[in-house]
Amino acid sequence: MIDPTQMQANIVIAGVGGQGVILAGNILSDVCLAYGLDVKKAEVHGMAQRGGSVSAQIRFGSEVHGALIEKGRLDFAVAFEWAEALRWMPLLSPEGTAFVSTQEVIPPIALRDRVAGRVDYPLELVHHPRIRAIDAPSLAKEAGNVKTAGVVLLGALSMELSFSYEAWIEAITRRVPGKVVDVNLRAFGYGRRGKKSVAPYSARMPEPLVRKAWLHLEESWCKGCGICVNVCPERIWVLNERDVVETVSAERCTGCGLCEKLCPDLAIDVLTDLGSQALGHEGGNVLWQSN
Amino acid sequence: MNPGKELLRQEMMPHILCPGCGHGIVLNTLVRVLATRFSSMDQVALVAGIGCSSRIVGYIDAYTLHTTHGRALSFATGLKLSRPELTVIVITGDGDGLGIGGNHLIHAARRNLDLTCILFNNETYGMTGGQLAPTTVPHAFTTTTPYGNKEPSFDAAALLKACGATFVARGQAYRPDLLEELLNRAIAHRGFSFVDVMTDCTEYFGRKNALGGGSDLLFSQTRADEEIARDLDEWPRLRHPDGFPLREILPMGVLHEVSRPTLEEMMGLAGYEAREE
Repeated sequence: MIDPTQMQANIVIAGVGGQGVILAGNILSDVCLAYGLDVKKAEVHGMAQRGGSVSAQIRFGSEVHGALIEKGRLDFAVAFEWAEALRWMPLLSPEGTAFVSTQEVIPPIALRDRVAGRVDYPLELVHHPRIRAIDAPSLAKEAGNVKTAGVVLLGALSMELSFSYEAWIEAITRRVPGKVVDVNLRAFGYGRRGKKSVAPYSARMPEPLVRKAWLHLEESWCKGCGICVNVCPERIWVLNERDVVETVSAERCTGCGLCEKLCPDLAIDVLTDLGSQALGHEGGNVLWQSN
Repeated sequence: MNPGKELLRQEMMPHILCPGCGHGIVLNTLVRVLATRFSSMDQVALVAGIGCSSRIVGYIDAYTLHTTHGRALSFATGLKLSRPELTVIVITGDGDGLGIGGNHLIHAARRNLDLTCILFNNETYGMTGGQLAPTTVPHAFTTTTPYGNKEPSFDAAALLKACGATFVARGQAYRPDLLEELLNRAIAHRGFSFVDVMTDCTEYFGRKNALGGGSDLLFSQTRADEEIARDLDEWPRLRHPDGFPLREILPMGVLHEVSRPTLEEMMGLAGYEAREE
């Protein structure tokens, strides 16, 4: 290990609003300052309250002139959220390492399929040679508080830097609230020891709120006014050549019931109850039934 | 699932209303309200006059009266006074209720009989061919106003409030949830309750004013084209299919609610006091 007072590195800490990215950046800066190093830090936290990305770029060394990191010059990326790591991969130097938490925070607008709860989440990162995937949330939970996941990652980072353990402990103790110092120090220890790489798995995806819906159309009543076609948020109704509506992909129905309430001909039924509820009248056909 | 579908007279369906007619949406909402409110349709009597709106009582399997033009409230008054235990709902249109039967409407409100009057306001006489109605907005084109309407229109809710109705509300076909709540409250109210429901006549009003078909006209109820709505002089622009926003500036919801003795109470009708609020 080189002399800590001669160290020089470019580090990015990235995450989502509320994960403690700024706090982690402050802890790291404190450690550097304790060794008399020159530290420059740039934070992006404007979108934090909307669950948007937050990042802190930190450069330190004997003399640093700017806070922003050049492309290909990033030594360490610490990502508290799986997809946030992706943003910084182009900056990572060939020798750089990324410490990535397997935690996934999916913003509502990214949930592509509201019925099935599917999202396109980048999992190919796991196989990147310079990624260290760490199951930080479960380690943090083990330490006593899942919110300390960021400190777990700092612990992993600290093994790559030659700052002393005591300097880190002092910075953490000073920065985190008094009541949770013990938990944070424990989490930091887990991070230093935890070398295991854990692949994220889809089972941790949030359970979607699935409302099962059956659509029922009384074809002989439909006059083809097109109100349901225009009102459906999922665009599942279309007018066919006989000017009667039909569904194109009924499985996308979320059961909101707008078409039923706005149908002037009372031709549409949206059944959202489970089980076999008897239909109100004869002669109809169940267009789609969920399993 | 609309529980009200059980109340429809299946052999009468599909109804005669044109494609995209707003009255159908009100029928949809009304049967839902009736099905959730009443265990048996033997407690309900629906009275209607003449017109597209009044046709809808024919599709509901309750006690229904299809009466003479504009006189639905007179029939309903007689029915209510002789059978005070019934919940009487009057279905009328803007031409039926405000034009031909305007006198009956204002006096029914004055008497404060315990009725619920639902006025389907599509701003025209739909059934007879799209003539000018008292609610047609100024500058609008109808069969009888080929150069645009020169008369100011009625604000039915303000009129009924002035006449002494104890519950006045306005709903919209575009907002069935609001309408459901308003109808529920109107039926629950003791005294003359009046709901002005803005609907669409696609075939006459929509076509004459180039406002588009069923769904265009329905969505025009909600487009907040305020810059158009504020200035009636800009009528040539209003004819653009992009909007008929005049309804948007009308206040929606419960506009007036007071309590005063009903005619039944004043007459001391037997058993009437037992009616729950």
